[in-house]
Amino acid sequence: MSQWAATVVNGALLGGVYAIAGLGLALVFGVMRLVNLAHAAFLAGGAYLTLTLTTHTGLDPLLALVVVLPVMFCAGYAVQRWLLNALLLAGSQGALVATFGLLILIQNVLTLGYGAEPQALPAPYADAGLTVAGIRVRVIYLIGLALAGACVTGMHLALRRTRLGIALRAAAADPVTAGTMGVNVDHLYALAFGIGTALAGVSGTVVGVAFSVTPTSGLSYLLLGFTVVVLGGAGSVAGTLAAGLLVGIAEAVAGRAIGGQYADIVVYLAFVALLAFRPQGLFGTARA
Amino acid sequence: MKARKYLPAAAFAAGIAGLALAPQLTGPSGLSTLLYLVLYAGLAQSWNLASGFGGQASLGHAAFLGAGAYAASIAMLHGGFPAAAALVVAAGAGATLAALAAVALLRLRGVYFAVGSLALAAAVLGLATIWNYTGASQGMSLPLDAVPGPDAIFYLAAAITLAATAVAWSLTRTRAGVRLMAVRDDEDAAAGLGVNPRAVRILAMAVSGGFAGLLGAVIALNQVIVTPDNVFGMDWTVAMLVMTITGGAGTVVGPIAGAFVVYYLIQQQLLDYPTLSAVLSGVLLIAVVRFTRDGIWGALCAGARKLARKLPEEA
Repeated sequence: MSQWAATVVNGALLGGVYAIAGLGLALVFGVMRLVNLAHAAFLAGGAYLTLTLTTHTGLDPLLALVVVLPVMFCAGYAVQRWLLNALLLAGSQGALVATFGLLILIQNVLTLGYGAEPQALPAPYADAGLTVAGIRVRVIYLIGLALAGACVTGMHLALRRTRLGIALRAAAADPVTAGTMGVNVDHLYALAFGIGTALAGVSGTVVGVAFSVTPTSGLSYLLLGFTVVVLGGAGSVAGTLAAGLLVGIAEAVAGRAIGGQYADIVVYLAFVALLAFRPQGLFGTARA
Repeated sequence: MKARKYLPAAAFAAGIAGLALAPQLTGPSGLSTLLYLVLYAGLAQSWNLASGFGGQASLGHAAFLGAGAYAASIAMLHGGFPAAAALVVAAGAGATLAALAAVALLRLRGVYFAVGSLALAAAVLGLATIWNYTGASQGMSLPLDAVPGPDAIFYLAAAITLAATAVAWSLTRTRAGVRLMAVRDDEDAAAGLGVNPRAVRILAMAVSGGFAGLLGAVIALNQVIVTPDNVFGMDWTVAMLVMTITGGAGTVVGPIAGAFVVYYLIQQQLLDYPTLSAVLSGVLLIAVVRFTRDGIWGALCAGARKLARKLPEEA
């Protein structure tokens, strides 16, 4: 019994990491209706950027985020402003293919720079654990969930309470009208993509500390992230966190019940079934 | 004007003649390169049928290729089928899986379909890796005495690729093709004119998946050892998408041109630097999407038309 409780708790905690991965995707999808396949590469890229900083300066990986996040944000901003904005004018297909091109490009540049072997981010708390109410949990999972909570709360408040957030929601709802009202849609799209890229950096760093990273390891998190986005209902910030926890629990329970090698397959098939039967998500409302 | 009418038929005849003579003209290593060029061209063409003409970017085509390779391998290894019968089974497996994927995912428009098909391919790859009947991650090895020789394998690949190209060409000339492209360009308007978008897309996916399955079986015959990674791997989908879009999605010649550029001009010239060639294909893909409308072939055609308009004035 307590083993099952431990499975559920650890799954939920790991779900925090999925929620961060999903949050960046949800923002980009919610604002621009763009499926950002390059998110997988941004996730790995963020982890490697952190790795480089920690090995050269001895900085703690989470502290290194102070440097990594602005870099990721600027890279994301530039990609949207000077590549994807022009493509989005002609529909989402070209932009989707461009993000696929970015995925291939970045994955292979990372392979050239760092090799294809898995590498872990060194941190004193990487293997540390806590025992709470008889259940042993990894500290890094707790940190991941705390970061997820902070990111979700921050984004919710930013979107609801700030002028920038209101402008962003306006640009998402109707870019043409928002543009005529003096909203700089190109700039806002780039901001949203930059924030999404920075969030990929957060999740990549947490994944790198908790497990390890390879140039292609972002791909499974991309799929998990998308499961979270669709499950939570695209554009729903709080739903994203709940969905992240749910996916984490589902994966952990499936792994425990029928074996770890089946866990990913179950999640992917559940995702396909979800898309087929309830594409508006569990928490979302029907929308065309 | 009259000459243009016969151009496709002439090009097709020249293609058949060239491919028929190829094994005599190239050495064994040249034939192997040419085989992969033809395989990639056919795979890109199969992707083009559903995703270029149909407009639904599929990230799951490796699943259909792998289903064909696995179905053929199982039929030969466990069923004792000859290679020819195994090919029929492979086409059926690829088409069935693609049609099922279409039924499940085509309620979704555009971008959701892409992610759903990616998840499906990941799930199928995972299942193949743990399926004990097919040797799990070790895969299967085909009975050597049932595997045809290199010339026969080359002719098979060439015939399938030519057939896929003929289907692509027919889409530019038939009602079925017009319906498919109408659904791609404006689904609501097409439905309003009496086209059933769902049926059209499912059919396109099934035909596309059938060709991918057939070529998967040829790949299995050529490799003899069939593992989950070498037939269900994401690399195949990447190749199909990159080659088709680079050459020109929704055009008949585009996928062939793309296969030539990406496989022959990039991968083959950089054989010792596979990662670098992947970087270049990524850059090329982004550049083509950003700066051309119908890929390299589309740009060439537009250039040729421009030139043709200019020439009479100068003459």
